[in-house]
Amino acid sequence: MTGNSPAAVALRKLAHSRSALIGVGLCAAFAMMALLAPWLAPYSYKKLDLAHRLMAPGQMGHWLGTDNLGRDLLSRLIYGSRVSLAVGIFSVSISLIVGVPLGALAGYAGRWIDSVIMRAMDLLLAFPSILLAITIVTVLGNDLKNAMIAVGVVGIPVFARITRASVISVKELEYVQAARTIGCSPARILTVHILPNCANPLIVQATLSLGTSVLDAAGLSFLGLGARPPTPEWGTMLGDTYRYYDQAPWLVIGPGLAILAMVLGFNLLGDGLRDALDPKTKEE
Amino acid sequence: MNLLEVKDLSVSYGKFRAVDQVSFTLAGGQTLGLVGESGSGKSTTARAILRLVEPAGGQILFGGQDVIQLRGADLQKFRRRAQMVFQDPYSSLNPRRTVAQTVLEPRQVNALATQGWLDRLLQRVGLLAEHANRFPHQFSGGQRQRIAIARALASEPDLVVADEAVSALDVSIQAQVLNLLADLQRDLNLTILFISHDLAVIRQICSRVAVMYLGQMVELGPAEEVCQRPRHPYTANLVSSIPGSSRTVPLIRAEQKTSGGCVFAPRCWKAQSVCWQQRPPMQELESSHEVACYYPLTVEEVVTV
Repeated sequence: MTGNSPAAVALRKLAHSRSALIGVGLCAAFAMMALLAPWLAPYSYKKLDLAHRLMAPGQMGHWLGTDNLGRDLLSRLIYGSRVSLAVGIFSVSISLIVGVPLGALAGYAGRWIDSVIMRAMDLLLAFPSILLAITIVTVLGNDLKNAMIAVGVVGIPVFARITRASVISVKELEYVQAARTIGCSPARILTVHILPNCANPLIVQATLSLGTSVLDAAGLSFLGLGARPPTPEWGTMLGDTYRYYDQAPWLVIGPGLAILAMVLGFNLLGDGLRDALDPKTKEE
Repeated sequence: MNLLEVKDLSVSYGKFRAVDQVSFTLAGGQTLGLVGESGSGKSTTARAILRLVEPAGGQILFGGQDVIQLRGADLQKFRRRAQMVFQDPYSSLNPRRTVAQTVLEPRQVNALATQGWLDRLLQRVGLLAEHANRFPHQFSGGQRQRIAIARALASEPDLVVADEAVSALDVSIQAQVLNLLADLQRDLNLTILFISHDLAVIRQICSRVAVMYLGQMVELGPAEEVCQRPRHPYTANLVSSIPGSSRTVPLIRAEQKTSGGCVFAPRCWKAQSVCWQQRPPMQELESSHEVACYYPLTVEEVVTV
């Protein structure tokens, strides 16, 4: 990779970090799995086969066994990556789209606008996230789309706070003063000179939030809020089958490990990005 | 013809009065040095002139127009004509913008033609065409300051405020940047307000110098004369602090608050009771050499360096 833009430098640094590369690998693997699910999955994710319920891994071509309704676990896990990735991306997008402008406005305008916005964010933060999400799903109605919205709303204050803090620190820098001196409009100052320089912590947080969103959505689905059967959502799969733990532990271990791997992937990638985007770490 | 006329300018930060009734004029094509220790209000004065901070009172006439009253499109027009070079070239350039983007932005936001200007500006400040697509982190401090100067020149301003523009640079680089500013001043007939805490630097580049102390103007006059024959006790102190100066002035007492009197009275070895009670007005001692002091140094007291 050549080029001297800050982004190119950060990518080169990322490529030199082993844990970041593991994160990239895990995320890429899940992304491929999600994209190619119809070709990768050996069976249908929803076809019931009551004659072959709770089959142990390896039997009759079911590499990971079957669940309590005789569905192939591997196929359901593969399709489940679609649901989880979609949940993560969709809910983090909501958090970003709402949280970043709110935080930027609060940090840049200051005074009462700042107070009003940030007190509203404090209000959201005052509730435990899962409780707030449960409330939102209950109000909006119990389905996967509303669970994603709920998880997204819960994430808004985090992004608003990070954006506000970065905007406040960046707006005092001399190049922002310089932008005022040369006659830039406030909108241009915010979008061209301030926000791009606030991007690093946001990129890192967005990546880490993908992980927590997946986890939160799985938690909601486990509680029966969110994905409805037969949607192969990992949290739902755990919730539906944990009663069979002593007979068929693979039904719990499979989705559990899948959630773990995806969250781990996002976290490793996020940590790697944080180091790569930090101008204090030197390129090797 | 005075390009800039500052009358009784005051700036407050909350209860703290950073600039207190400062007045001076700056003729077109001249270079005025504003000197004083940190906290003397010289940077705040500059920022008020460029409308980066709101003044609490006074007038700032730029080409006869009061800058403080400007709004909207008029303010935009003024911004094109008055530019600033900041102290720290490491924080005055947006790290995500290339040299070309930074240097041409003043022309773009003011709807001026950009054709051919990149090369012209880079050449003007001694940078190469191949530097255009690099980012600030690839340059040294001196080169960064050249980029900042190119940005300040881009909108063809009449007034350039250089706020400690060489203070953050190595001494060897300082001379280069000072020479560049002097060349630009001559070639483009720029008017420069040059702010520094270093009288030796001011002396190199400025025709006149204004000395500030704790928010007030204490002496104003031709640079060479003020440096050779300072009349205000504070200026005498400042001059004696230049390395290599043979001049010695009496030691000064610790700082104290005054209310109403001369700001320098608590540290002044000549202070009398009137100095504590009433603020001395600026008075002209010789032609265009003004001092705010009841007991200015006499010619006998002033021993030349």
